[in-house]
Amino acid sequence: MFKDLIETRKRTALLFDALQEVINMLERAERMFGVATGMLLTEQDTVVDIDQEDRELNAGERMTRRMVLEHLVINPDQDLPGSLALISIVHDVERLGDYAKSLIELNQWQNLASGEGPYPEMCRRLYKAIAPLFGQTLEALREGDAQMARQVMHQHEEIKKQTDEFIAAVMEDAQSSREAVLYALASRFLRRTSAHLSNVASGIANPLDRVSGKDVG
Amino acid sequence: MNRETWQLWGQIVLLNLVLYCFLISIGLLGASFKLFGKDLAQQLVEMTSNPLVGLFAGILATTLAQSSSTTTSIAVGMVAGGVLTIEGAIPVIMGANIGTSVTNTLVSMGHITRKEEFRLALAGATVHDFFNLMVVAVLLPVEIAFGYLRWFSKQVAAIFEGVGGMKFSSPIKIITKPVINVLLDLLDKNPILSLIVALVIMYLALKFLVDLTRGVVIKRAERYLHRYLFGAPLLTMLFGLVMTVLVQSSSITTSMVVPLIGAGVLTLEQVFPYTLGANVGTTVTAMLASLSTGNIAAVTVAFAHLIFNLTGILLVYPVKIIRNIPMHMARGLAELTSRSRIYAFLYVGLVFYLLPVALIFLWR
Repeated sequence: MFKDLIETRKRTALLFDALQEVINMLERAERMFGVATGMLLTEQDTVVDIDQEDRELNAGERMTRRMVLEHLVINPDQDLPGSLALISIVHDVERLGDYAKSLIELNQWQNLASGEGPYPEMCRRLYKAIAPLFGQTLEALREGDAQMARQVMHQHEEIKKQTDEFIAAVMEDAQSSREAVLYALASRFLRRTSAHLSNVASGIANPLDRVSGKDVG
Repeated sequence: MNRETWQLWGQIVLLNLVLYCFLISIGLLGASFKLFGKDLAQQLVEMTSNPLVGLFAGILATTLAQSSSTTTSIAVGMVAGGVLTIEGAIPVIMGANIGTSVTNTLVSMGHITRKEEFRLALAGATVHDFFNLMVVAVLLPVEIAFGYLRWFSKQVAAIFEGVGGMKFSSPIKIITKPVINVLLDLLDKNPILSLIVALVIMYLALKFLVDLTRGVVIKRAERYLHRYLFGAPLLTMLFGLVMTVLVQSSSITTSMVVPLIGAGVLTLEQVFPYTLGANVGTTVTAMLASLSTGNIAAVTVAFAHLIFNLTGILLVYPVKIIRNIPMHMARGLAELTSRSRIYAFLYVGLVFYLLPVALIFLWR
């Protein structure tokens, strides 16, 4: 969707700046995710003001929307599908910040790394599967690389299966319900993170009407 | 060079050609009026000796042509042709300033089916109208009483005359005069035919000029718009000025931001300095026209247009209470129209069409 914009009109197009803003937001969301999972799974402490980071993400979303609107007012016949796709994916990036915050909030109840049984390890595996998706989605956005975007979408399908198995395992276990709730929520938040990354990737690889859907390539 | 660069260069060459045609039309206009002789001159001077008639003629001509550049260029051509005095031309130019603001008000009507959006868009568009109406209401009586614009513009034009050596040998006139002479010969020096040809060339040239500059400038301006429209007021004002100079139409520059105001992205406070910059920027067309005539009275009129707009800004913008007046008026009208949209039509019809027509006939 953005290849032509990136390759030929990056010197003049405001939409390219809007795309850059989304990329900056995604980099910030990646940092937030790293901080959240670091706190939750490895008991790392953080000096990052996560609320401030989230506010920056919200401001980025507003700025992107404004830039897209300004672009459409001046050049309504140029990049219309790309503009609409950007409006869609910027919201997905903003949601990534919310899920990072939600993961941190889980930590105030219990550090999941200290839990017993197979769940901390399963959580770590999920994290390890999701963390590289940020870098791949970023690369796909920077280069307008549909192939890379498709990879992200396919990996999300795998992560979905893993989280389904995770939830099933938690539900079938007879351990304390309090801990089960925390793990279920953590897996849910991790899955949503992966889903939003897949949505962003779909904005690069899919036609406009299939943005946020599965790979149609 | 890629296709886009070739296209850009093609547009720039075409732009220069169209500009040349525009300058020829101004020269031909002045020559046509000279061919009419003293009788027409006397009639027109008598008619515009009433400044209010000149003012409303300026409003009406601009709203009908949807271009203040056309009106001010004709006024400049008439002054160069000796059928209009500087005193008579100044109210016409003030009227053109008011008339030009109708375009963005009409553009805001595009939002009329969405009540809240229309309220915002109309306020954003009519702040230009109210500023111009307010400034004319103050400065026209001052001009009638003291002739400050005449005096000031003459001083500036005199400096220009001395420095540029433009008394009778404007460089633009040198390149346009041979073509004008050929055209006059082809038209058998018939004043009516020459006037018609001049007006047709001028209309078409201005239309193409605006269309071309819109293609060259506006499409590439979105990044600057984003950077400067939401910035410090003086920068925003300067941006409005530069954009209008490049596009040669304040209607285009002020109209293009109306959808942003309607969407609530751009506030009235942010758009106001941009509008004022556009008001100053639009004077460049009359400047170009006057330079092509090589006539110092025509240059004086063009400077009067510039000085009038600069005085207006100095009068209204620096003091917050005064600056808020046109904004309050625009918001007031927008509130009124949010109750019934008929008020918007009444406002446009009365201020820009019916009142000028009625008053011109009344005073005649």
